[in-house]
Amino acid sequence: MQMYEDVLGALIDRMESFVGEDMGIEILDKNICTKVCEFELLDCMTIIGLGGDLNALTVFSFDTFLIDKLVESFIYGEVSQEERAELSKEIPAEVANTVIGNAIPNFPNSGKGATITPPIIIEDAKLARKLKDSSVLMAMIKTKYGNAQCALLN
Amino acid sequence: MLNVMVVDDSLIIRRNIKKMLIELGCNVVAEAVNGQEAVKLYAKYNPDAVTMDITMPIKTGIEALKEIRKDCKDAVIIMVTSHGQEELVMDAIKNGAKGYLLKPVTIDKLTIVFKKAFPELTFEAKKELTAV
Repeated sequence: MQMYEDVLGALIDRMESFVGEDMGIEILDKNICTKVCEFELLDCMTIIGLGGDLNALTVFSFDTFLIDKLVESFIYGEVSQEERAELSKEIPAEVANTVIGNAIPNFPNSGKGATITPPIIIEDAKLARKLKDSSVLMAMIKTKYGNAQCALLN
Repeated sequence: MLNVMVVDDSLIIRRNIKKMLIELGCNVVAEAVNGQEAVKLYAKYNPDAVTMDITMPIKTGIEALKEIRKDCKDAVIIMVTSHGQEELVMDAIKNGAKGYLLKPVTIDKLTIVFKKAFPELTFEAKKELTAV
């Protein structure tokens, strides 16, 4: 279990620096590694699997206002309304992919042997609940534009 | 003007790199969403440079790099990667990649890597004029 707490710690640290430093959005608070039985998903969600020496699913979700702000920061140059709508759908996946890719060296054993799957976007999901021997660890950052959460399921 | 092909499975990354390259005075002649398409479009457009994502479906950036350089030893290919992929980057450099860009890609990083790859050329971001 400690290994997965370390993985989630690396993910939320990188999420904090990505949103705060790379995207220039002020971080108000950070909660790390809470073991939960269920959690509510935020508006925009993406799933990426961790494989190789790890065996877990990462679930990233974001409040809509934060996604709007991330679009402003992440997208380079002028962007039309139509283009913005199209790109907004991909932003959660792109952020999650970048955060995981950057966090891997800080995984246990420096991330050696860790692999990741391509992202999958899930729409209109509300709640995730653990069953049987599954485990759910959750971490979250808060910004003035809303929250971003990262959960590790295994 | 430098003709560049942008290869990435992410629409956002392709769009961002394309916009930055245009600001730097480059001409984006083709875009590919995986390594297989990249090999095909390279043969068709013969670009001066390629930005190539490493992790892509169907055919990875490294497989595409090897295939392109098998037929074209002078191909200038710059890998686009995340922090966790140092071993893959080393593999790419051994196989002839001219440099790499760490995500998130910024115009400053892009300028530095292109200046290294093409020291004889000048790359300067053209600032958009704002009406007063």
